Formats: sequence, C-alpha cells, structure tokens
Amino acid sequence: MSHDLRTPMNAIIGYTRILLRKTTGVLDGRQYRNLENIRISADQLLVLINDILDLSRIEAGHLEVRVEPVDVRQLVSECAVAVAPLLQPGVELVQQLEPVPTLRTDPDRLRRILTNLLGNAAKFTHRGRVTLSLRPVAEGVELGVADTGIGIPEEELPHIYDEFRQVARKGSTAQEGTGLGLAIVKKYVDLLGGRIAADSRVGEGTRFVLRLSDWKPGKETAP
Amino acid sequence: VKKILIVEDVEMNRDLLVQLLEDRYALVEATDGRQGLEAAARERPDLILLDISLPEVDGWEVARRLRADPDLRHIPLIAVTAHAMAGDQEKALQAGFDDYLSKPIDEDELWAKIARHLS
Repeated sequence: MSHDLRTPMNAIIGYTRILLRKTTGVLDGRQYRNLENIRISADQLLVLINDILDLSRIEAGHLEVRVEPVDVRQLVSECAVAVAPLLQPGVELVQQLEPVPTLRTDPDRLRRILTNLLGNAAKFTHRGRVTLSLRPVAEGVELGVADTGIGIPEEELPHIYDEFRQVARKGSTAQEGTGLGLAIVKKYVDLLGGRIAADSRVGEGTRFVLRLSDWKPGKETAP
Repeated sequence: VKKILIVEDVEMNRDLLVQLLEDRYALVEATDGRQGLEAAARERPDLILLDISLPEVDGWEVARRLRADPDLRHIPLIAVTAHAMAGDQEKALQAGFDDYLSKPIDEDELWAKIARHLS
C-alpha cells in the first residue's frame, strides 16, 4: 500500500522538478508559476500521504518501537535547528535546555513528536517567540514547546488530537496543515508510554508539555 | 566522464534518474537485480544507484553479492528506496551500502551524495 502510493507521487514530484529545471528561460512567468504550483501541491500531498500511512500503521498495531539510549538534549537541539527556517520573520526561538539523564526510548518517534509540535508553533506564531524547554523530572524528562501564537479556543482544546480536525484559527494565513500532526503526536506519545498536556489562551499562545520516562514493554497506553 | 549504473525496476523512477543525471554522467540501466549484477561485472561503473525492492534478486542480495566480489566490492553503492521507514538508513549501511537516498529523490541530496562518493 505504501509503495503503491509513494511511487506515483515520486514520479509526479520528480518530473515536475525536472521540468522546472530544464525549462528555465523557456516558459513565461505564468507557465512557470503553474508548474511551481503543481510542485508545491504535490509536496503537500506527499506530506499528507506520509501522515495517513503513519496513522494507519499505528492503528493496525504495526508500529514497532526501536528503543535505544537517547541523548534527549542533543535530539532536542537538532529539532530546534530543523525548525528555525520555518519560523516567521521576527519570531525568536528560545532554547532552555537543562542537562538530563540518558533516556531509553525511540529517537525517531520522539523526533517526529517534537518536529510536529515545533512545526505547529512556527506556523501559528506571527510575533514573539517559540520556547523549547527541557528539564529532568523524577520519572524522566519534561519537554515543553510554548509559543506566543494565536492560541486555541478553550472549547477546541479537548479535540486537538482528533484526526483531520483543524481548529478554525482566526487570523491565520498558513493553513496548509493536514490536520493529522497532533493526532500523530498523541499516538506516538502513547506508544512511548509518555503523557502530554496542552494549555492555551486565544491571542496569547499555546504550551505543550510532554513527560517521558524510560520505555518499558507493554507500557503503551491504549489509544 | 564517470559511469553510473542505475538498477531500478519501475520505468518512471528509472527514467527520472536518467533525466536528472544524463547531462553529467555516462549511464547504464538495469531493470532487475540479476541484470544489475551482470551490468556491474560487464561495465565496471564508477558508482551504482540500487533500488531495494527489485524483482528476481532484491537490492539487499545484490549488495551482498557485489560486496563479496573482489573485482566489484570497491564500487560505491547507494541505496535508493521508497521505504522511508525509521531505521532503513541504518539497515542499508549495515548491509554494505555506502549511502542511502529515499524517494522522492531530493535533487540536491542526489548531487551531493554522488559527488561525495565519486571523489
């Protein structure tokens, strides 16, 4: 299934890029923009397909956890570097990273959780800052992603992890999300046996707090 | 001009790689693992781009046989795969690949990795 979906996407994206590159100076501005729009849409569709495949794998119970000793501080720093280009102009990325003990968990899943949370924060924050924090707690580590963005209305907070649910975000211009980012976050947090909480105020910002401890077999909480 | 062997069974994926690379490199194409092994022995390419999910002999087995052949084991081997799965990169490196590209191919990454292994 995943191969069947990705192979044609690979062709669409690849041929579009070749056309873009090999027709420089041949196409007029409007034709070039048309091609560029095909490329952007195909990239978005690929993100959506990857998200859906991830979710279906989780739901089918086919997702394996690959546990290893993880330097969480290093991993968090790498995620911060990756999100920096996505920040809107003038928005600052603040890192408050305390040293923490090595954690036994799945680094790929943790990276995806953080990337999704940071990606949302970057997308919905038009001024101020995105703060990434890490500190040791009794059971392991506590990670925080806080922003000064548009916030989530109180009545929407219980539904933020629902699939395909996008909060009607007033004043937001970038709506290219799939509505699956937080659903995947929640499923991965469950898979890693962690806990996540969100707290938000419209117009002031949103803060996600994630607590993780060493992974243990059978520790996954039921979805 | 350096010679690159492309082993890929899906015609469009193979054609994409050809169109990306044809201006700069001499290319040899193979459509399954067996042909890939034959072409490697016959053409002695400077680098091989090898799809993992191939008919006949899959990419893992092709890599194993290339690495076991004293005449061919030195050729840089890059895995090209749609398995964008966690851990695949590591698995490819353990299986004897020198590098890894996931589909859809990122053009800049393709250039960078080929250049690195041809130098």
